[in-house]
Amino acid sequence: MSDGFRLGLFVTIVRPEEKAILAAAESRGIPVDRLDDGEVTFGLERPARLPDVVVNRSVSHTRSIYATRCLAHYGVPTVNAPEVVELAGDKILTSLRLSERGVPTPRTVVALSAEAAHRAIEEIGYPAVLKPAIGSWGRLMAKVDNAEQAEQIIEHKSALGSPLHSVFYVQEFVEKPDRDLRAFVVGETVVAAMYRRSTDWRTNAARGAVTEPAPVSGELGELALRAATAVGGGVLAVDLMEGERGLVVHEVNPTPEFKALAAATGADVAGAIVDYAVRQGRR
Amino acid sequence: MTHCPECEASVTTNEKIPGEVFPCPDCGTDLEVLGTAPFSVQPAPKEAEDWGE
Repeated sequence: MSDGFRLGLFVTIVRPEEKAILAAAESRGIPVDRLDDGEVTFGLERPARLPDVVVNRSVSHTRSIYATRCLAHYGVPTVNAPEVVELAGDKILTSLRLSERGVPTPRTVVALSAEAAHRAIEEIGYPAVLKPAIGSWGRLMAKVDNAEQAEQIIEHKSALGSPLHSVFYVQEFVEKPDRDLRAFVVGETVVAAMYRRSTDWRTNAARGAVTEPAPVSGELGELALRAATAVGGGVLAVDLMEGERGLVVHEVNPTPEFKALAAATGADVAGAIVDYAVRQGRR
Repeated sequence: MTHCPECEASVTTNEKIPGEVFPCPDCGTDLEVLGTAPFSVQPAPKEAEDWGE
């Protein structure tokens, strides 16, 4: 590709995923501008030289929101779009949107104070799951089996002191097999899906879950596309559980890792992301 | 080659690129590549509250 098209890669750190995206761009002859999220600055005037599209791979939700908003201000498309980053990076906003669009999702109650959190947990019933509204990798998630645990966990969260931990996102604990599912959506396509198997109730690959390919056809693929579309579409990893009422979507991740998925399925996820980004940049 | 700032073990470039994060082969501390010529590393940034996928 020698028409001056440039792809921007907005990063915090370079992990295997970012290396794979860089390699995929290089193999397609696409020059890449690396933008370090700790170094870039954004003025109100449009800079003279900008990439044609920017793939957001920052691991910081806050930096992702402002960077994609600033790039949109300059007229540079981003993958994902700012609205998608804001919505899918926040579990509360995601639950609201999934519910509005009729996508099956676990029962959820939100509380905005420690006092209300007790009532939210009682409303959900035991066991319940408490998750931070923002953040991933199963970090600071808690399974609450009884009122005594609820008391302790709410007290600990309150002691953390940040506004983020003063918001309580409570979900039903979905009784599922020792696995969940991740489907990776790029545009209108589910490029791959995998089971994540673990003896821990949290089945994140980052927590050592064992992965194996899952079929993308049928209900799984259809539901993953509906969930991705509901939050605005783009490059999204949709996490699902097999509950007693069928598949439910519990997360939609807007800056997804895919090392484990690519290894489990052989899918060229990085290539799909780059091809999709180029299409967005040329629209 | 350079040394891990935590345990002083030898760490080598092995085609790493600036910004790349990798574990020290000896102590397991996550290190971030600062530069490749000369090769230098620092402890990787700690996970912040809003980090995620």
